Amino acid sequence: MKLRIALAVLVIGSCGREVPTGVGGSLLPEDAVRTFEVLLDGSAWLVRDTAFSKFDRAFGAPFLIVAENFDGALDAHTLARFGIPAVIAALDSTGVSRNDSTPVFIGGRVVLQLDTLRSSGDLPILMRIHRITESWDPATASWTHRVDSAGNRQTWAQPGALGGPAIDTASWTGAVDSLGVRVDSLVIPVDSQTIAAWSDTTTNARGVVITMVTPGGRLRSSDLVLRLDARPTFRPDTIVTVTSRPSDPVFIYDPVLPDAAPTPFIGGRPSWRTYFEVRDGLDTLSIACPEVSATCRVRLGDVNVTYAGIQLQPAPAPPGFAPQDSLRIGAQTLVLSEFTPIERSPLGQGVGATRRFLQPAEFRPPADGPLVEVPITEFVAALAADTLVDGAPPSRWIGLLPLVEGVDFGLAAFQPSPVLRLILTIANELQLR
Amino acid sequence: MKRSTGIIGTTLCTLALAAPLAGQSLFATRGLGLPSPAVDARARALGGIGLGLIGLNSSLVNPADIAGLGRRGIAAVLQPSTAASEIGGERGDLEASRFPVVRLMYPFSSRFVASLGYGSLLEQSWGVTQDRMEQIGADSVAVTDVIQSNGGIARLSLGVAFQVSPVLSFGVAGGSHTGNLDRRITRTFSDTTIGLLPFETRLTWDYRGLFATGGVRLDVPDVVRLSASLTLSEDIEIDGREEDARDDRAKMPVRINAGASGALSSTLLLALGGEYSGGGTAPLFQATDATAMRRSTWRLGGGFEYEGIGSAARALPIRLGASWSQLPYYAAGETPATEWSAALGFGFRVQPVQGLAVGDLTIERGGRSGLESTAVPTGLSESFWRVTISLSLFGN
Repeated sequence: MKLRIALAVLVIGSCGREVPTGVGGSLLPEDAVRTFEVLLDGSAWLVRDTAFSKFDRAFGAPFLIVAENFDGALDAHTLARFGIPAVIAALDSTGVSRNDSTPVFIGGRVVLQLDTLRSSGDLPILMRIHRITESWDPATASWTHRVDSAGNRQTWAQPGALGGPAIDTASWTGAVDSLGVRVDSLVIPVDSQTIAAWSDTTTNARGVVITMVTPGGRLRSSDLVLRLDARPTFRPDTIVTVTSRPSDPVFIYDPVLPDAAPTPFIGGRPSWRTYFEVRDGLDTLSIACPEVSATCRVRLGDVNVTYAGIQLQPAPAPPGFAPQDSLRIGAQTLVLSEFTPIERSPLGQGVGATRRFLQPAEFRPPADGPLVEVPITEFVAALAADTLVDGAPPSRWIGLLPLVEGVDFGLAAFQPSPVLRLILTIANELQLR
Repeated sequence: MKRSTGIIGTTLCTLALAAPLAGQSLFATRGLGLPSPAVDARARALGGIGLGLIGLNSSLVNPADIAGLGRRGIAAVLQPSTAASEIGGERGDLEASRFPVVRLMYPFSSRFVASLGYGSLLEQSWGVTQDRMEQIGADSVAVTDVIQSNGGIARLSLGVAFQVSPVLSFGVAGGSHTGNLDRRITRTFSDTTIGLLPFETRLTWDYRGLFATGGVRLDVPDVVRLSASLTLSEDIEIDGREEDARDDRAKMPVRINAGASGALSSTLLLALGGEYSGGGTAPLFQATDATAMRRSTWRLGGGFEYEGIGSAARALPIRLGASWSQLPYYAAGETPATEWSAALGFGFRVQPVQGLAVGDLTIERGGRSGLESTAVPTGLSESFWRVTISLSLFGN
């Protein structure tokens, strides 16, 4: 009986819950909990920062580039190889659709669709196309090499794939059409002889190279087609237009940036990533906290990391490589292994991203605009706590890269050794005694 | 007996489930908390001092008071309360429920009665939400702090009462102050645009320290009872369970209690009592950067009990009482606080004096005020309702 009562009492006693009241805050000291900001120079938290490239290549990019002495440095040509259709379809004199396997191609046009928002240059821009008469490999072609694969390196007769004869020229004026819409296509005529040459599919020594004659511009294209005019044999009084899309168009450029750089580069195509190695023992780092008191010093491992962000100061991109598109930077940890070079280490989990899109203008000289902050709170908090993650210490490497890689030719450049902005919170329980 | 136990158990469970539990008083934010005497419902109705009462008294104040008890028994006290706090024109509500006393009583002979009791002493359960702006670097950010404290100090007491004669009894008790404090502090940031993570810290301390109580009781049977006790305590050791919870030590006062009751007629009883806790005014903790202060305090109370209702087998007493006390803890720069209460109580005894089942219910209305300071000129005031329910069961 007594035991039953005692048990009932214990059960009841364990039912407690607390609901804080909204008044009484003024009874408590204001500095029982303090949140303050600390800015750490790169020398205080970084061992090194290194940028690596070649995480992808120009081949397969969702855009094409043509440039001539852009920023006084960059030349870029677009290369394409078109197939000429063996059969066309047309209506005969009775209105019935028929196939014709021996059409006569009387001419055509290379049509370059321009991304006018991401192109620059003084209008009008004169463009020229050349025939490619050397065998080339779209996947490995570069400014100097037409083939550059393992054990097979062959140079162009003339750098930039300019060894073939010129076909024709055209100007992009940026004018508006009759509907008031800005013309965003560049149309360059192609003669029947060239089309006949491109019809020989037994050789890879064919194709077109699109170049810019007017210096100082850089055009970005989103699409490239060849429109062919043909006369069907069964109805020579009619001209039929057919469209051919190139297989594996690519752009080649000069100069080529090195594979690694000592300053932070992020983005571009080939894509750049910047890797930071954080100093060992970050949890033991002693930090001054003048916002709390003049003599305040705390060990990072003893405070709560409320926020951490890398503050990057934009710097001018390498000449010719300024971004054309907006960019959002994300941070991911690196999973290092002793058997893998850093640049090939797989990426771990994402820990943050810039809150805003960075605009291309921020990376043009003098590029002294507002700081770019990449939040890495989770990463720093793990290092400050110095607790094991899956049985291993947390990674001290973090990489900054575009949230979507390889969608812009230009890259974002920053000053080395960035500042780490910390917002820390500390509770002083003695204030409550 | 079995039937009554079942009813009592059901009642306890029902009460517990119905009572919302929360912080008890914002005065518990000071020092070691709000005094919470280990007295039963009858004592609450008769001034709250808890000794010198003619009849059954299961309070843990004077070990001599159970001398002459002839039956084995258990007593439990349940105490739900609600309070409304007001500070600087703002009002907030508080609710709490606790168990001030659980006590086993066992007579070894007609002269010796032993007891084991667990009783409350100081209550530290409270919770406060605070919204304010924090300057972080160049930005001013809205933050919400929630500070929750749960715990308190209780006494585990083993005592014995010796009846020298029908007039004179002695009692001694000793035991340990025990308990803990669990304090949780959270901060959330209203501005989530840069993703500020919420902050939370939880610190826990254990309390321990020995105490001893000696008491004497003088009786003119059924006419007058006089009772007094003296309690000496070690300093309370405050042991932090984690690195961040710093150890400390707090002074516990010498406590002197005295009480008396007398039969004004065959059905009317008058009870008076007082408590003095000494030690003077001084910092409470050893930590030099703590701000809590302690002081000597008085607690006074009294009441009437009318037993004219009922029969010889079943008494239904009605009680009226009042109490006034000084609260011991405050922060440096604040004025100390006081508490008053008025009580109305009822009892139910199956057999008068030492029946098989005894139940008491006391309803109190009271208030606390104090803690005025430069920062809070109006101080803190609270009004409260407090219900105390005692259930005692006795075998042979």
